[in-house]
Amino acid sequence: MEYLSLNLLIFSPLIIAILFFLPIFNTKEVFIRRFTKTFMGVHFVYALCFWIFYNPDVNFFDELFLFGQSGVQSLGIRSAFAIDGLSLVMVTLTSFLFFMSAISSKTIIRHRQKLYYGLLLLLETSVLGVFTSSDIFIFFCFWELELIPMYFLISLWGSGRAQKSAMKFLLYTFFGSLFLLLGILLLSYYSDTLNFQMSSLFADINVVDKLPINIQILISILLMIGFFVKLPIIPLHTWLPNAHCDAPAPISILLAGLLLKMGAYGFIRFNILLLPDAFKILAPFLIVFAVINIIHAGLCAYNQDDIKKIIAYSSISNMGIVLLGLCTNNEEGVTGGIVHMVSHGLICAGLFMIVGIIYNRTKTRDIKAISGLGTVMPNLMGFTVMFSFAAIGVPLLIGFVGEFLTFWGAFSVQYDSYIFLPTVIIFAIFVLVISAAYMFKFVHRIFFGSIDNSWAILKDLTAHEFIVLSSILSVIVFFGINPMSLIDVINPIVEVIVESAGI
Amino acid sequence: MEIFIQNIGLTVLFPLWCSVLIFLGNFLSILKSKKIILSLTLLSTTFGLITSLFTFFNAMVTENFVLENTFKFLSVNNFILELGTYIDLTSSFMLLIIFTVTLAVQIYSYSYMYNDASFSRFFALMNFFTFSMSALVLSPNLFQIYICWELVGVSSYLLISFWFHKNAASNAGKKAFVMNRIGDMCLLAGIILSSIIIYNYSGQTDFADIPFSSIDKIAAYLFTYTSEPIFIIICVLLILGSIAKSAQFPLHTWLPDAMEGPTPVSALIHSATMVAAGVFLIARLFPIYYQSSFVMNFIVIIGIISALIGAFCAITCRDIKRILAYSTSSQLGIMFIALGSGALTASMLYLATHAFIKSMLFLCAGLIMSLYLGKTDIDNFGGLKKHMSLIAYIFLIGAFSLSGILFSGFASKSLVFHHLFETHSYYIILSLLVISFMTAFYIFRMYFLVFEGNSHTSDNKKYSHVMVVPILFLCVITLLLGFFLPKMSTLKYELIPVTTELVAILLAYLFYVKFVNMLPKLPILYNLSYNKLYIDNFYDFITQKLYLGICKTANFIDDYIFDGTVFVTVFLTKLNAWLNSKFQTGSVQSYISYSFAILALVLTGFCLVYSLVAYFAEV
Amino acid sequence: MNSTYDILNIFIPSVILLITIAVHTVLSLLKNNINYYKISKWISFSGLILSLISVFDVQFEPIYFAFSDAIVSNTYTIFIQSVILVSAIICVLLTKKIIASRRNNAFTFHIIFLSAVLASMILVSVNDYLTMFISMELLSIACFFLISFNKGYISKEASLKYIFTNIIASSVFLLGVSYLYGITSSVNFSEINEFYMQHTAEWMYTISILFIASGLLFKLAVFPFANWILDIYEGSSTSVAAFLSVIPKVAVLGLLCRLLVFNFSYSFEFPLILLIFASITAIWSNLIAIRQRNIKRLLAASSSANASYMLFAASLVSVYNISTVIFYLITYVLMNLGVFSAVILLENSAFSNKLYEFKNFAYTNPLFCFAFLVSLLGLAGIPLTSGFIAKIYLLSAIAKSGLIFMPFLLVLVIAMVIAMFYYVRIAKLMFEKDETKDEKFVIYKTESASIILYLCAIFTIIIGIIPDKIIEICKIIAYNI
Repeated sequence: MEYLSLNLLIFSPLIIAILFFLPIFNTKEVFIRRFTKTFMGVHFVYALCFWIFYNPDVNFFDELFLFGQSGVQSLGIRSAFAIDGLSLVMVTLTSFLFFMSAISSKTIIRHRQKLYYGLLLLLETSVLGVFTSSDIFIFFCFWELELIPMYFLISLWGSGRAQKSAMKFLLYTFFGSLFLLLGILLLSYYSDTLNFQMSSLFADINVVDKLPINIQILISILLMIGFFVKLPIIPLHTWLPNAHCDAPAPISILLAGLLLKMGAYGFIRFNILLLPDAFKILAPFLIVFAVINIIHAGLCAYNQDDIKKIIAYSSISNMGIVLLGLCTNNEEGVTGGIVHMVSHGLICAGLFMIVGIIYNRTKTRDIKAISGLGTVMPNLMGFTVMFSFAAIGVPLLIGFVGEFLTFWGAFSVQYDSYIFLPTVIIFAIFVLVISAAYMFKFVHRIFFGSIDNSWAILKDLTAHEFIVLSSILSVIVFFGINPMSLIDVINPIVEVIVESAGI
Repeated sequence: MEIFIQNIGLTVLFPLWCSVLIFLGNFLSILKSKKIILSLTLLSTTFGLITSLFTFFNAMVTENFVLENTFKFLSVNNFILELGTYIDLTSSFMLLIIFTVTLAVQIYSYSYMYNDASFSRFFALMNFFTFSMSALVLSPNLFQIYICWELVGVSSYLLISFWFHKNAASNAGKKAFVMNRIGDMCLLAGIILSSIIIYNYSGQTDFADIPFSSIDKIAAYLFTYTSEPIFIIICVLLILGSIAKSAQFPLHTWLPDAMEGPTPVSALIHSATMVAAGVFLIARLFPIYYQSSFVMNFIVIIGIISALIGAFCAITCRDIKRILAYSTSSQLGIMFIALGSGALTASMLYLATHAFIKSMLFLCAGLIMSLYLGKTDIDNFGGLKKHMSLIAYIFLIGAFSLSGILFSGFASKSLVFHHLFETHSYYIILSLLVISFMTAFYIFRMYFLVFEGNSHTSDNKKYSHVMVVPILFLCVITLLLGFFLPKMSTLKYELIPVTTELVAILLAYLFYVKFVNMLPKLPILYNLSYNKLYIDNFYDFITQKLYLGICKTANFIDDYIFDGTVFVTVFLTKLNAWLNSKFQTGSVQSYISYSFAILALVLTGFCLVYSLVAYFAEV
Repeated sequence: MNSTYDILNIFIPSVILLITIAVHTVLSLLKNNINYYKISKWISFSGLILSLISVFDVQFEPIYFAFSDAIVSNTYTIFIQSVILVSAIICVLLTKKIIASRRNNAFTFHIIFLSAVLASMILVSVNDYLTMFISMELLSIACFFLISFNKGYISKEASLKYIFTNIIASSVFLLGVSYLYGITSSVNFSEINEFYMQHTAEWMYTISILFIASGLLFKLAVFPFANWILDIYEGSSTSVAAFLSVIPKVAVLGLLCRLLVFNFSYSFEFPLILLIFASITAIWSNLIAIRQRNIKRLLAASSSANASYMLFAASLVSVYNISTVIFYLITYVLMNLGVFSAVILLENSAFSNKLYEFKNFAYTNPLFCFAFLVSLLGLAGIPLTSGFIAKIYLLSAIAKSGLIFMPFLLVLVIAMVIAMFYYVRIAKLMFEKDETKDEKFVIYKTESASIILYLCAIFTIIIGIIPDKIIEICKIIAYNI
């Protein structure tokens, strides 16, 4: 296990990206593509090794430092990275989805490939950095860094009104992250030293305990605005449908699969673990927000004509489930929330991939213009149906585990002073029907029914697409049948969460 | 024999492996031969049949036979969910029914689906259904019931919209799934609530997944640790799950539409097995429901309403399969009535006989349809007795049995009546008589219209004899099953229903053979029945107008309020920028004057504030 | 008392600059200086380098006062002076085009240029209002000539605008000084300090320092004296614009920090007024910037915005804040000069200053584009650049000053969101493909401007990753103000 270097895991994509941008690296684009793919495959295997050798009892990966023990010491920043169960799951998911995204880019990204793959690798490093950094400042640094490659990836390879959507994404999330910054600054203002002391995300922070509760709540709300823009939670979600719609399919995979999870991850790390007292007070209100999110986005999804928007709204709705799970404050619910993060990451990635394939073939995203594709694309239809089942929480697929545990946790929530909560939570379970309604509207309109002549010439899946979809699906099925392999990994951190935030 | 019983889990897994094998084989173009597919399927089903036979006999012989095998599926904290198998008399009985009907239907569908392009997909899905259904009846706890509940729903959905290129099939599948999903949602809510009460309040953390092995204790805990309304809510939620699956009012409209699927599917899933799962679940949770008389009455009332509606709609229905579908809904209603009035055994036996009768009738209907190139309107048929007398007689046996005059149908129905008479529930008996009357009427109407009268076509119809074998098989069971059922009825309990039913047959004979047509004289009733009591229209209104309206409103809020705020912010920023740039006139005079104006403003403000502060300080 | 040697020691950098000016003057008198105009740049360059080297020879401690307390010299002033010298060196290297267009006046240009640098250096270390006025006027007049050096009507107009607004600002400044003199009967910083040690500040004091500060705010282009900046940057040649965006700013901010710590600190209201001015500027200039299609005008607005950010931290006086301001100044100088050298490179390669001209650069000149991008994203405050660290550092300083400043922090944050928009838009334009423009762009890579661009980009990244040393230095400097 000593051979596993976290630094290598995080920064190797960045190094490759820099190599790409160097003028001496003047090779053909085909080579770049294949190289990136291979690299990401190796990276995924490497990340998997971390998973395999992970042992929650032995903190082998605790607090690794980039530049020795230092960092920016004059600012009290430590450039430290560490892995626990939660990070491990997210890191592996990141590596996997980036691998999938790189494979699926082949048919969709046809020009400026060097730049594209370079930005993709840069994005990978920044996402990995968010999930592993153990210092608040480093966390924020990577959090911001992710914006730029994402902006360019959407605006340069997107379709439709990509420029506008990318700018909306950038400004909206930047706006959110500046609130996050305000929160962090306030936190550092109240930290004990006069220095710009950024505390560790992992170690328990004594400073926070000393804070008066109203300040904690203020900080908590500021941080939350930042995370909820990313997550997204209504009413801070309106960047998402546009950005998802106009991004190219491999980028949509990453947006839905990982970037939204960054919000949830930050929420767990900061709002729950760092500021548990404030969280306890805010949780009932957050549950209301979560339920509104679930229902509202689900209803919106049904009314969309743009196939990508259906999936985009569905992921907003699913993020509501994640938030609901995290706010339940009991072990079942929090486990459910985290499992749902993973499951939604996988499922939504698959669905966006499918939507991307359809768009790539038909050049339209209007649900009314497409029908009966199942006749010519049976394999794609099969995958779509399977992914839809996963998305609406059919058992033996991973979507069910997260949803079930979340609802279980939510129903057993005990906030004594809030009578309205049970009534609100009851509404959450309507998502079972609502999601079935929009998912099957999508599947039936696109694949079922009689086929239009203009679509009769479309080709079924290519080998690349097939590999991507089947590997995502196999992971979904694997975790669906064997959820304990996931739950065992996250269990220690869940216990910590419940211990710190529990009533 | 022991080996079979011990390894009963394999009866569940074999169909799953078969399904996966066929899917993958088809996908990778390895497994093309239809014969191999069939033999694989039959092998697993036969194994299941043998195992379930052994198990059933074992369960019959042994007193309180129970066998449980579980493994951990999910555990968080002390909350542990287990999967596995649990065999007692009920489940082995259900398993036997399932495998018997499945075997018959699978043989039948070999020739029925032989020319279909998606032959292997069909068999893979059928196997998957067998897996999920057998896992459902073998569930050791309520949690596994839910899992399998969803899985049978999924396979049912996939099989209903098997011919996905037909719009009707596609819509029917969607409708079936979404309606079932409503039931599932309620079931899940019920399961979670009861699980939480057991887990959090009673302190019995082992029972969090509601195992059936200690259902009596759980029932007691649930009743003790909840208030009356909460208990009723939980029960009603659980029952709503059964209602959706068993196509009971108000969630019954998916079943007639589900007939868009291939006929073997209707015979297996939508008449014999899956729809009976609702009844099975109520039987399983009977100790819980039994705690409250309100809940029992609720079940009875649901049963009566559904049985009446189903029978009423079947009377004027023209689609050969839909008549049978409404009949199924109605018959399941009778089972609900029996359950609600406490006749557990009677209802389970009724379930068994109905399964065989109904799947037999469906298979006959499928055969008839296949001769007419898939036409379903009974007006197209007529005088078929000349062409296929064997089928006609079999159908007649089915009709007599279904209406409860002869054979196994008679035996099981009299059990129900017996129980009702014993408990003096006369209003239930009355409604059951009405239902029986209508049942006899519509099934014989169907028989007369299809088999009697003049032939509409003169072609010599040929049918595959392979398809007749399973029908005969089921027919034999229908004929013989009645003798195995317990006899406990006295003559008075049998006479009244049989007389009613015979009157109904006579009426049907008059109407449809002698054409003494009275129905047009009752246009209101006729319209009501023909339009399915307008329930479908009502649901269409809800889904097409109401739900879409809500969605549109939500979307409107999203677009114009949430996103509108963003838009307005951006617009204001741009407007502001434009206004500001208007100050960039380029003339130095204006620059200086702006500066001075603002400086003066600041100074004035400053002095004003300062003097005010000074003033108030003095005061 | 200081010995003559010590005084000389302090003034060696300035004296070297004076000597260089003299050399230029002599050379400009030569008849046919057109032929060897090129050496003018290198003379200034070597003069500035020498001056910079001599700065290291100057003793830092203890504080020296010279010319009957008119000039002060300590670690802080010397550090700011060296920042000015470094920026001046960079600016000199950027002057190729303007000199080439005015060959016969090449030496004159350098005389004025060096005078401006000299004035800035003195401005940092003044210790009474009269010297301050003199050095400010010297700076203004030099700037006036520099602006007017460009050819064409627009340049002349710009220089006139500059001098007019400057005169007004100066007179307001003088008014303030006279008020202050009226109250304290002194113009020396130290004496005024001592006066207020014993007396409580009157409201007249606030007004007078507000007037005094107006003169400085004008140089910083902070509301309400910011209107001029767009026209003047557009009118002057790009190298002069680069000069204007850096050197007077560094000098004035350096002085302002000192004044705020020692002389303006007796008024309770004054920081609030400054904060309000700064917030209005932050919003105003960013809003103006998003409408600009000309890169020079855009950068003008952006430099005004950046000045306002620094003013935020500076007006909440504390040693910690001063250190953040100094750090921000350093990173700002690097990034801004990087951007300006990129613009100069483009200009020299016959592109106009319109933003849409930037299309395709990412594909034709990837390295240039990358360096430009680094500087731009640094200004926008993206991680891995020094701009990010600087911004966080600055914001943390404001946050640490107290919860009541949260609204101002919010304003700053919103301003930064707006700023993000236009910086990233430029970056995006470079990646856009314009099929109509198919000719191969050539950007001269041999020029000194390109070296500066790359150097600035490299330093921006290095400071962004390891800012430790610089921050340490800034803290030391701030403690020795």
